[in-house]
Amino acid sequence: MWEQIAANRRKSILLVMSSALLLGVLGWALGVNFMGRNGGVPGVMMALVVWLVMTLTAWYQGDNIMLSVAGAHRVQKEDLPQLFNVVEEMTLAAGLPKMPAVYVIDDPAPNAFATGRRAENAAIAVTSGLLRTLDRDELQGVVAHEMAHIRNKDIQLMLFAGVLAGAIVILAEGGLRGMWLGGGRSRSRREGGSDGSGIVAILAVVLMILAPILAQLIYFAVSRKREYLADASGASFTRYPEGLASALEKISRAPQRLGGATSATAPMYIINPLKRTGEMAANATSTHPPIDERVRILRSMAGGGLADYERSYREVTRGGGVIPASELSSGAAAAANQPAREASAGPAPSARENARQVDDFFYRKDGYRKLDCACGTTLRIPPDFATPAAKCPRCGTLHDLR
Amino acid sequence: MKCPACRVPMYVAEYQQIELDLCGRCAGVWFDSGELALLLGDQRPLDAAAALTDEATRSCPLCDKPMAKVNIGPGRRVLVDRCPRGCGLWFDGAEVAALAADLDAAAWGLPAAVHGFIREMFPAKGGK
Amino acid sequence: MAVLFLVPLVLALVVVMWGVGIYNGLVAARNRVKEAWAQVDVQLKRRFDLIPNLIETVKGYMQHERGTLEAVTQARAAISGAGNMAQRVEAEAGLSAALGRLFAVSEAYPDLKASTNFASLQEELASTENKIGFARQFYNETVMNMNNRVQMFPGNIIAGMFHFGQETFFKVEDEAQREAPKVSFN
Repeated sequence: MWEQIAANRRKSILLVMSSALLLGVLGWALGVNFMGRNGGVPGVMMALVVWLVMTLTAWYQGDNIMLSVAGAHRVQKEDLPQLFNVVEEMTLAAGLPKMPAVYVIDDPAPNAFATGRRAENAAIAVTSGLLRTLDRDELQGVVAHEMAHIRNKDIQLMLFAGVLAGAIVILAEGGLRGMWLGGGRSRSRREGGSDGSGIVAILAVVLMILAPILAQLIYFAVSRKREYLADASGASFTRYPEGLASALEKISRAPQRLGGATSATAPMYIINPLKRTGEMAANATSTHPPIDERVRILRSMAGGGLADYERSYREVTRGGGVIPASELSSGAAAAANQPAREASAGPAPSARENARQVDDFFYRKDGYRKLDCACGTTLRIPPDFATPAAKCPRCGTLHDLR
Repeated sequence: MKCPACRVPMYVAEYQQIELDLCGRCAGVWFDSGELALLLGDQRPLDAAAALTDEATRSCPLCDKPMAKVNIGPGRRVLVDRCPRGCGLWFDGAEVAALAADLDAAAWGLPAAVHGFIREMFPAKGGK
Repeated sequence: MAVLFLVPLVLALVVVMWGVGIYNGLVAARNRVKEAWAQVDVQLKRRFDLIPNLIETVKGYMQHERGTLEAVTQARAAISGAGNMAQRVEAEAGLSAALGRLFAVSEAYPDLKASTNFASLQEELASTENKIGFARQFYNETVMNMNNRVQMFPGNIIAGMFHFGQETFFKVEDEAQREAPKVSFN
């Protein structure tokens, strides 16, 4: 695991540096294009200021931005004890120094992500749809996958990638729009066409078109293999690959689409939220590996260790391995001899109880008023309810709301 | 959530740990697909024939997509609105009353559990 | 002439630095083992503390299960009496088994199962049981990592010089584990 963490730190630095380069070149092209031949240097300067602001933002506020863009709300143990316990269990299994903060997103589409700067102040967010659809073992599988992202420092890398890719896309789109609106100076009388500014303009256009693709490629390079690795570590935390496998299946089959996801935040999620059910098959530019492949690898694991995942991965993909060699000799891999554990023991709230517990949290948060009708029905009245009384549909009792 | 017909906030009624969203003004009912799944124990979508009608199109209260009119019930005379994305089903007030008043579940194009739950939640009231 | 002095000096320096690196790695590995054990201990204590509460809640409902309840109380007492690590591990496993039986028996008491207090206690205890398991799993990983370092070349040289010993795994006897009945979901 230590090698994986070191590799991620190197990639984080590489990503921040290469994005500086990309932005610098983009800034130069935009500068020359809009301000003439002498605009290159100020363009680069401006781009570097943008880069600095972005990097600092990603570092200090990235997790909060991600969480608020997704519409996530912090929960405490009293709100959702089972979710809280599962997160705590996986914190222990991953050997993290501190339990991540737990967030819930009110969205019927099941999905989850982790974010944060480092393991000490990470956060895990799940949707209410996830809590309603999955049983405890499946939830544990998903949380274990996210915990693996946290421990492997993937979250830090994804934070930078997300914020930087988002900014590059915005800048390049802005630049292109500016050119279409005629803001470019290449046709200006003062500059003339003989000093090569035509070539510069073409270069600028090419760059502006390429930049978002490049940004996407950076993203792609950092995120795809990571998903396999997180599946592998996640399975080694729970020692129960079936939990994650069946969760992935359920999530990918759910008909709903996630509301608060954008193309810049999509790669964070356990399953790409921007794809419809029919489009789940991955193509070359996909940030997520194909779901059925992930499921098949997990299902053909002989035990619950990293080495089992590696073997299974080689079998299913018929390709090279995915787990670094040093990792395979570590403690977690040695557990390969241990059989995968059985489905966990303990009490489970029924699907209905579970759903009510999740909904109750949001009703409380949104200030709904709870009325217990004598006939056994419970009414919940929104704070902005227009009528002064609410009728119980079962017994017809009118409940005065004043 | 706002009523797709009157656009006023709806209230929630929970019975046997299943929730329905109700409109206090038009007595319409939103049956969320998550609640349907809880009731039926799985996620299968309801199949019903699409209908041609001049009844006003309503938008899904969750995803805002225009909902499709589907025929259910004996003689295919009751129309309910179904979200194309599968968010849930919308029953107008009169539709719920007609559904609840009919004892014969088999004649309706609804799973028996759904019909039974609606009958339980909206016991037939004289004059409605 | 100076170069001739410098070469062995530099070589010695490299060897020392290398040794220091391995030594620090061993210390870090040993600290990880200690931290991991602390986590196991926290969860074991948490379970220990939850039991009086559980007995209090269950007592009224399960009058015919005196034996099962007493077994839990005794298993708990055995933990306080455990002298060394091996005894402790055995006592903890005994408590796991006794608790498993209690929850299995509780299935036959619908009134008890309907009580919200019991339901939340059951989630707490089951989760604590899971936490003990996961903390133990991580602890054993750190022990494995430590022992590999101590046994394998070149770590074994430094470990021998500075008396780094092997750490003990927290193994639960298969017997005890098999005894614990699984309470299934749903």
